[in-house]
Formats: sequence, structure tokens, C-alpha cells
Amino acid sequence: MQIITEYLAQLKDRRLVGNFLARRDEHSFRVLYHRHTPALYQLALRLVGWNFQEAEEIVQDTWLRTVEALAEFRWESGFRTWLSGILINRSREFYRARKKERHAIIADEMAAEVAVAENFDRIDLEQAIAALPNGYRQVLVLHDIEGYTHEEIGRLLEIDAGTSKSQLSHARRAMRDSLQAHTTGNTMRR
Amino acid sequence: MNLNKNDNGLSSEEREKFAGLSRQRQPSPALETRIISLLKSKGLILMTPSQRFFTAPRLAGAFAVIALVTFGFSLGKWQSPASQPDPGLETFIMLLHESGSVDEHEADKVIEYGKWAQTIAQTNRLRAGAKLRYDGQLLRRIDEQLEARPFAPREDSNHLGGYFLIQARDYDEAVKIASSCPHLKYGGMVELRQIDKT
Repeated sequence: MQIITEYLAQLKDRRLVGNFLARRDEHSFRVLYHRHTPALYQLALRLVGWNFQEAEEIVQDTWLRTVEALAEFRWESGFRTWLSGILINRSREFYRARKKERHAIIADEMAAEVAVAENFDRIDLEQAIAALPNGYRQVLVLHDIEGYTHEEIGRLLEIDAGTSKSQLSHARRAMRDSLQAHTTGNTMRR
Repeated sequence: MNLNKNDNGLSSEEREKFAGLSRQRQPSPALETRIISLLKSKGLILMTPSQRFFTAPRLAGAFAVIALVTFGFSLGKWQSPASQPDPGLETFIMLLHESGSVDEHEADKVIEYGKWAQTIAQTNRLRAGAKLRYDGQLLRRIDEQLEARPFAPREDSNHLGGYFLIQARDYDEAVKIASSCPHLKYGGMVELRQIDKT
């Protein structure tokens, strides 16, 4: 069933991309934009530790690069996978340009926004992920949330698959420690 | 959450929690506008002829033209008795076909169309008129499935740019009115069709 769904989604993407390439018009682009941007934005938010401004910048650059290269896309992967790869590359360049490791802390505004729709367990989990060092966070988000394999992560992040496994192991441990500390803190405060 | 400290794989509860995280989130609406604007500035999204027309430095002039035309139509519509259909007359539609190319006299053309419409309205022959947007949707039903796909005219093809609804005694008078429309002078084509009352 999953394969059929993906196949149909791929067919629809091919048609929408074909429409856009044939016309290069605003409406065709908007259709593609609305279909894929919410998922890209969510991924960008997690990769940059819930910095809304940075996530929007990355999504913006992702679309610019995508449209520039769209005519050369050979459909050897899914369109969403291709978009996500561009976004992941862009987020890595984003950090490289700043030349600093960011230990992101979820802003109050993010907590407030998430709290509207999601329960506190999820907020804790998002906070624990966001607080991870950048390298750990990228691997954990890509593997445990987005479902990439270590081989795919290795290609996307230009690291060995073994390094990806090792990073994931450290990331999970750090995430659990963070959640445990949070739980203990909450218990002691009560 | 059940923490699984000894085994570094994910516990079933952890998997469930990860699966429950949202996969989509809407960015601010301004992002879409910004991206489209950037793509247009790089020539990666083509502007329609109307969009190109309404870019600086023509924008100020275009607003003045719109005001004039609107005034022209309003004058005809509200001051002319022809705003009420005359049952003794036949109704015709003038479909204005045009190519997508935009020339430097476009602003003058729009003013002229407005003046012409005002003149026709003063003779109680104009019922309505409008310029059409360039974008739209094409709808059809294939194998009982409704297909709606975006439509944007190619620059090198003829397409419907607007219409006038007029009244006349017969085709001869309708042709006479339509032939005075400045659209013909500028190389456009007018398709004149009578409204079927049956």
C-alpha cells in the first residue's frame, strides 16, 4: 500500500513539475510550493533547532536552487527526497558559513506554538532533540524521524555510514539523558 | 517516556513518540510571496504580459488608466438607460481575442478602449464589458473524473483578453458597432456572437 501511495505521489509530482517547466508560470509554482513546503519547513525547523527565521531562509534557498536545477532533475529519486537533499545541504552550508556549533534552545515562542497542537511529551522530545549538538541532531532527525538509512545519511552529509551510526548512538544517549534530567527535575520540583 | 538506556536501539514507546511528531508545519505566508518575487527577479518564473505591463515604471500610469477606464465604464453603466436591457433589441457579445505580446502603446490602447465604451454607452447600446485576467483554470471531465488544470496563455498564441456585451437591432448594427472598436485597429480580432434567447 505504501509503495502504491508513493508511486501515485511520484506520478503527481511529475505532472506538476511538467506543468511548471512547460509554462514557467506563477500558478504552477504555487501548486508545487503548497504541496511540499510544509514538510520542508518542518524538517528545516528541526535541523536548525527551531530557529524560525533560519528555517525560512533555508526553505527559501532550497526552492531557488530547486527551480534553477529543475530541468536537469532525472527522477532517479522521488521529488520530495530530492528537495529534502537540497534542503539538508543548504542547512549544512548555513552552519558552515557561521563557523560555529549552535546548541539550539527552543524559543519560548516555539514552545507556545507547539503547545497549542501537541502534548507536553512531544514538546519535551522536541526540546531534547533541539538541544542536541548540531551533528547529533542532524543524524537523529534524518534517521529516527525522516526515516533515512545510514547509507543515505552518509551520502547527504558526506560522512561514512559508520560515522552516521556512531553519531546516532551518541545522539540517542544524549537525548535520553536530557529527557531523564528533565523528568527528574520536574519530579523534584513537585 | 520509557527511557531505554541499556539498549541503544529505540524502544517501542520511543518509536511511537517519534512517529507522533508532526511532519508538516506552515511557514509564514510572507515566505511564499518572497520566494515567488525572487524567482521572478531571476527570470525563473515568467511574468505574464499583464504582470510585465504593471511593473514600474508603468505602474503609476497604469493606475491612472485603470481609474479612467473604471470611470468610463461606471459612467456608461450608471448614467446610460442601456444599463437596463431593452427587450426590443438583440444582445450580442464581442469576444476580444489578442496575442500575448505587449507593445509600448498598451496604456494608450486601454484609455482608447475606455473612451470607446463610454461612447457606446451614451447611445444606449453597451450592457457590460471587462478585461480578463491572464491566468485561469481549464476544467473538463475525463472518465467521470473532474480534471482542473491551470491555464496560462502562451505569449505567441491568440487568447481571449476581454469582452463587451452590447445591444443592437440586428447583426448589421452589431457589426457596425463592433467594427468601430479600437481593438481591431491594434491588430486584435473581435468575435461577434448573438446571445440565443431560446
